[in-house]
Amino acid sequence: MSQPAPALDTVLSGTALATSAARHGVAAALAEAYGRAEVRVSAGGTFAGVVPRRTGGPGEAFWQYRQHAAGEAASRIDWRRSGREDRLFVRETERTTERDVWLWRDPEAGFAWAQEGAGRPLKSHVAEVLLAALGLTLTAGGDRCRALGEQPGVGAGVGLLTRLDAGFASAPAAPEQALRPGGGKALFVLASDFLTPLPRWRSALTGIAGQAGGGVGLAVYDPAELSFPFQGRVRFRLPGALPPIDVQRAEAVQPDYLVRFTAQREAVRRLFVTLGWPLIEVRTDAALLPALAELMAALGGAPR
Amino acid sequence: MNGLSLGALSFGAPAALWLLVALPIIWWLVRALPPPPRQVSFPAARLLTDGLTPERTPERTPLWLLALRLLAAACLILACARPVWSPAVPQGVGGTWLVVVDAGFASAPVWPAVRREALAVLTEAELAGAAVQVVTTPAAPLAPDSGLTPATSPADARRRLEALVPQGLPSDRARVLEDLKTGGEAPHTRVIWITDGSDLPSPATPAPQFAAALAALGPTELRVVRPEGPAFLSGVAPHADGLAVTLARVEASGPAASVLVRALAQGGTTLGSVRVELAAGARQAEAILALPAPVLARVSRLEIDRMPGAGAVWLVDGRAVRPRVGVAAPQGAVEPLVSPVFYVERALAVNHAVTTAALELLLEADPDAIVLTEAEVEGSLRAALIAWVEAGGLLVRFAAPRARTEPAAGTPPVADPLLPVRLRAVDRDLTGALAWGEPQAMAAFPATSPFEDLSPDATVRVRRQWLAEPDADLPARTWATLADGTPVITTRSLGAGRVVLFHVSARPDWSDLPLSGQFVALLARTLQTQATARSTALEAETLLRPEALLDGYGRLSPAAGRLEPRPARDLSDPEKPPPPPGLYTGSGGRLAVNATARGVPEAVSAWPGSVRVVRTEQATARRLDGGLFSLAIGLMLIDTLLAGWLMSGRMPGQPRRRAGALAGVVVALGTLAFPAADAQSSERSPTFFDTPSRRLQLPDAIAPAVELRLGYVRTGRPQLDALSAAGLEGLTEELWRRTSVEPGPPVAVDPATDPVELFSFLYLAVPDGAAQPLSPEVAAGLNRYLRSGGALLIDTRDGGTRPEPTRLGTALAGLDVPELAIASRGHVLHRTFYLLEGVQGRNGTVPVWIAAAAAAEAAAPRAAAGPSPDASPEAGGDRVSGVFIGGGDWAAAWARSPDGRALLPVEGGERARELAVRFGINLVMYVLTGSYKDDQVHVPTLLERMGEGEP
Repeated sequence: MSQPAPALDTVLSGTALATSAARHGVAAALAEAYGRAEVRVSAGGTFAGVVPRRTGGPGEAFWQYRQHAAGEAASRIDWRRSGREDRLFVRETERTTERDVWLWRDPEAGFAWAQEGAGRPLKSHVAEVLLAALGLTLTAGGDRCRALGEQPGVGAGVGLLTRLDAGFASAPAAPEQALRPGGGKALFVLASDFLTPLPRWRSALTGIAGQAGGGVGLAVYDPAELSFPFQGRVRFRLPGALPPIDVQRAEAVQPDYLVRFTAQREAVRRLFVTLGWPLIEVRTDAALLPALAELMAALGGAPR
Repeated sequence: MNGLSLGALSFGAPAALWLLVALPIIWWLVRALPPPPRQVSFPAARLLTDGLTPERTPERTPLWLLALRLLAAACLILACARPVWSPAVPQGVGGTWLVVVDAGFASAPVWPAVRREALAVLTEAELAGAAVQVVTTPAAPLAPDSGLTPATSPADARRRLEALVPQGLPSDRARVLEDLKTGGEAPHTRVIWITDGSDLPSPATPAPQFAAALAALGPTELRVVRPEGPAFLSGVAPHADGLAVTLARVEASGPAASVLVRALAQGGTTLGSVRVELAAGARQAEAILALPAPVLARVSRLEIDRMPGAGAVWLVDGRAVRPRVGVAAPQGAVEPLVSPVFYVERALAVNHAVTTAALELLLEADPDAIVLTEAEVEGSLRAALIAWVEAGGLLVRFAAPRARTEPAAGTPPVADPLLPVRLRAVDRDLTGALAWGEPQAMAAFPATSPFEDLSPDATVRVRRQWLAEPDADLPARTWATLADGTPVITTRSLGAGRVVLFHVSARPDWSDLPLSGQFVALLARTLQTQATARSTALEAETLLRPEALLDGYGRLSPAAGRLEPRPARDLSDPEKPPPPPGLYTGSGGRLAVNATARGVPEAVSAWPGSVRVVRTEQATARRLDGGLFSLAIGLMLIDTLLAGWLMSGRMPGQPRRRAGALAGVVVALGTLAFPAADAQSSERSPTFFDTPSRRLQLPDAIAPAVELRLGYVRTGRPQLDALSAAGLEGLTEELWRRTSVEPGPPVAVDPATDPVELFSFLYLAVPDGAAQPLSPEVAAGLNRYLRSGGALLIDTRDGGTRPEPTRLGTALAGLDVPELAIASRGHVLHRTFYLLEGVQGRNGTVPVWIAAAAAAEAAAPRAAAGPSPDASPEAGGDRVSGVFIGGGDWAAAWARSPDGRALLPVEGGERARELAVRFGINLVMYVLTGSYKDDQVHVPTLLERMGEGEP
């Protein structure tokens, strides 16, 4: 997110995402707006609803002819091909499956934050809206979307959004622990601010990457985290049981903070690069449609 | 310990000054105490947790707050260093100092200053590293040893001086000199005498001589702490009206001043008060504290209002109170003008509380004197009477016709103990048909009699008398003789008591004496002698035990047997050291010794040249630590306030206006704190004189027309007028408080000259004693006033159920008073504001006489008859009485001092006073509303009539 794309819709105000119904509405609108713009994105050929599996199986495209094995059902014989030879042939199609996309929104308390009095939505709300819009778009294309940790199920429209909400609410703090062995090569979309200590992310991401078919990172930042706009003597309250931090002169701490923040951000980026996963960064005060487009693009380009 | 001196400023504990070095550390500490931080939720701040040492630079404390805290710290440090400001103290005089402190009762009014001076001297001694020998004049009466202590360190002496209180005794300097001869630890490098600068009239060692004697001991310095002219009570004597109070000031002269003297009962109740006016330049002043006889008997002490000191207190024993007199009356009523008891009673009542009763009852009541008008006393009564006289009573006898009992020839007449002389059996009759002499006049009184300074009334003629047998000691027993030398008043002491015999009867039949005005004086003198005699008896050899002693502040505390009994003679012997003032009891009675018994101290004007007299203002070394401590505490308080204000959360970038307001608060608190610190270091000598009370005068002719004012008729007797003014002032106050009537201050009115028509209500107090008729001008003015519809309350102040006919008649002569009747209980006067059962005066319930026409109105309500056609015009057009006559002495009951205290007692206590005030309010209401409330009086009748009218 080094260069924010031109806004395709207006910036959301702080209260626009306060209720889940509002978030659902925004997500639906986003998905709909993306659908109109989809043509342009599809022209790049980077998107397909189904993914060919380069093996035989259920699908539409022709894969191979093979000899009919004894005991196989006679109904499967391709008589037009078999008529040209003495042997019996069975026509196989290439196996195509819809993608399985797991969505995860960081349940960390610090993620549900926005700068006080700045009139911006919470980071977690922005993430939820983006993930929901993504889910709507993907399911419309035939993919399956689920919140990580939630039981598999099929849904669309409002049903999907409600299901996602429930999933987000019960999302595991450590995404790798929610993976079931043999779950297949699913795709993962991980939304967080990635500000918790790095070792945690390293273990989580490597754990996921071992089993996943791919993944995308969605980093949501509040502008205050990027600029550190505090002055004077400040006591910073931290979420959870962490002790507060007293700072005598906040302006004196600012450079140090910025250095550390940038270092954390770079480390996270490098982590994703090593995994080969794209990382998309979103500011809570930026337009969301470009972020959705970036997400979709990243997913389309995901390796098998 | 050696001090550090910087010019006039020196420090007792200079080591503490090293703490000033710590001020920069305090600066740093104070800076590190910042206001509480702003709270912000910022999860990303967790990035700062690990391994970070954020810059610990505190927020900068405002500079003025910093300065404030540093100032407080500096004040504390300086105070700990015990700084002393001593501009005129010679430095570095070590050795032993002698400090003489006057702790007599004359020092009591200025005791704080005396003690401060003494402590300052000790501070100087501390700085100079000298030992101190302290002596006080006088020593405490309960400590028989001398007031001289061995030389001690100034700190020990300070402990003693801080506990020192002034004594009730005068300063006994002769004793100090004696003590110094034996116990003085010479040489003294410095002698300091802190004195009140006064001396008893004829002391054994006059103050200048004492100063010279001190100067012989070492370089002497005198610090005179002289108050701005306190006055002491120098004497209280019985007087016809109550007590004569004498006041004397210490200074030989001074500005005019006015002092309030109060008479207190045993429990501290004020029974009466009088303002004594000291004229400019006069040393003494006298005033009469008027008290009725029953009240007078309760007086236990007099004191000067708001002045401490034993000299401002006068304890009263029997001598100052007029004796209680009983007149023995025979069975049956006392017939006016016929019974001798009548004449005696009338003559005594002028000055005394008189009880008339049968002799046996009198003996039970045990008065101070009994007057007997009968010739004989019978049987057991006789023995009881003799016993009573021997116990100290005074028996005054009069001659009377007696049974003619011829003594047996040859036997000498037996001396009767109840007669001062032996009497001949036959009376001397100068007017009988067989007499050859003329009625005799009185001769000049002999020098031995108490009547010595009186000249006999030349009009008195004695026609008949009892004759005394010639005797060797007859002249010594004679107080008065006739012109031919025959004794007419004789006396003899009997036991502790005395018998006085008037050789004439108490009726005008034997002589003119009972009709003479001198009769009153003779009786008064006679009674007075016995009062003196009683105390003389006490003063002889009786051992007197102190019962309660006065301390220097004039507080009476039990002596609790800590002092040896002394012979009464010693107490008044000027050669002996003065006794501690207080109450002494012995077998003969009770004796009050007052602090000023040996005289009121006089200011000493000239001191010997050998001593250095230092004005206290120059000499005083002032300790500054107390002031600095209070200043530091004040600053810390301010700081706390500020911290609380900062705690309320100051956000960056808020407007600075509140800082300005804060600075204002700081300045205000500072100005409050500084005078307080200052006041501690420079106490002013207290002044004891009140400003003279404001004169009540008619400000101008218009005032009473503009606002309602109560007025009183000026009688020309200042005390009575002042009482009337105070009474009306009290009533005015109550009217303001309770009703919608809001009068202006009361006004003295002279009906002869002032426009009386402007007043709604006038109060006329009939003077005591021989009433003089109103002058024609005054009477004319009052008549004009009554005709114009005014209301006049005439107060005979006798409390009697019947107005005394002669006094009232004299007082009312020339006044057009309508026909009078007693206001009945149903009269509207009893219900204009309060519902009253009767009219309360100062001496109980009294009837009030009002115009008969108005009185009759209430008695026979005529609701339907309309105005009575025959209502007299004098009664006011609306049948409202214009005249009210009663003996309630209401002004005395209403009178209050400016601070709200009742001035005079009321029989029946506060309830009675309240009822008297209610009567006053009702009266004013009646005067102002007339018969308006009469309608209410008629309501029952009206209702009755309405009931009849209905079918």
